[in-house]
Amino acid sequence: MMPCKCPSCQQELRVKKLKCENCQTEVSGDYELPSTIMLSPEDQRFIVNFVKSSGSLKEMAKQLGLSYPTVRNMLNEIIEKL
Amino acid sequence: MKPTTLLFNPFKKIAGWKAFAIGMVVMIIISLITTYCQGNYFTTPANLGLVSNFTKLFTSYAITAIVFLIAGKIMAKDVRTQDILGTLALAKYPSIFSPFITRLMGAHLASRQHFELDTITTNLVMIACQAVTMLILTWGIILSYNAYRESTGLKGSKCIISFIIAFAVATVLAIVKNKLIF
Repeated sequence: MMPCKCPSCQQELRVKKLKCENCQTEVSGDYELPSTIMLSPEDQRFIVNFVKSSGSLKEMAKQLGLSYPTVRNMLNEIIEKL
Repeated sequence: MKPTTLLFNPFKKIAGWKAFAIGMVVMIIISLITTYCQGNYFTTPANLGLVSNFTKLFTSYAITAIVFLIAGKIMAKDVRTQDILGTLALAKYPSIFSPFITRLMGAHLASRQHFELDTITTNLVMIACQAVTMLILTWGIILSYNAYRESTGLKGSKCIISFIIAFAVATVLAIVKNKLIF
């Protein structure tokens, strides 16, 4: 998982440089990390599956084998983290 | 489903109308067992003892469900009615054991009079039955709390305090109902 917080002072990390592996071009700047990167891999998987289910919590509940309110609570937790 | 999940929080897997249907079946089974333990065997198609037992059980559940539904709607957003009704109905399942304990206590008291059992034995049996009854009650309360928490999505002190208040109100209303109607 990509680190998102400074191991020294726990502040949010920012992107300074991006590199193209094909032509070795480097892009420098000051970019914010996308908010979804801050989430755990399980939460990111949940969001991807949620989008693939067209936003249907009922469909998600069937896929995960969980009850509807449990899946809704999981979504609410992710919303709080974001 | 893990055994601990089944025992204390089956609502992670089952909620809504499915849980409500299972809860109704459980209540019918409890009514059947209670009626049998009371000695009212089924001689007619419309057994009044069974209907009376089921009605008492269902009205107690309905009072609890309505109070928790109101509490859930006030304290949380996006609460589905069927989730509260269903999970609280399913939370009744430990009560399946209660008629057996009551029957055991009654049978022991009757046999004590008949066979002149000593007081110590009787007291030990009664204490054991009361302890089991308390365990069943505690189990039921834990299930009710988890049902409320899963259905509403509430967490922490907000969930605990609203549950305690709703539980107290529901208990008082159930006692009043028993005094006035049954």
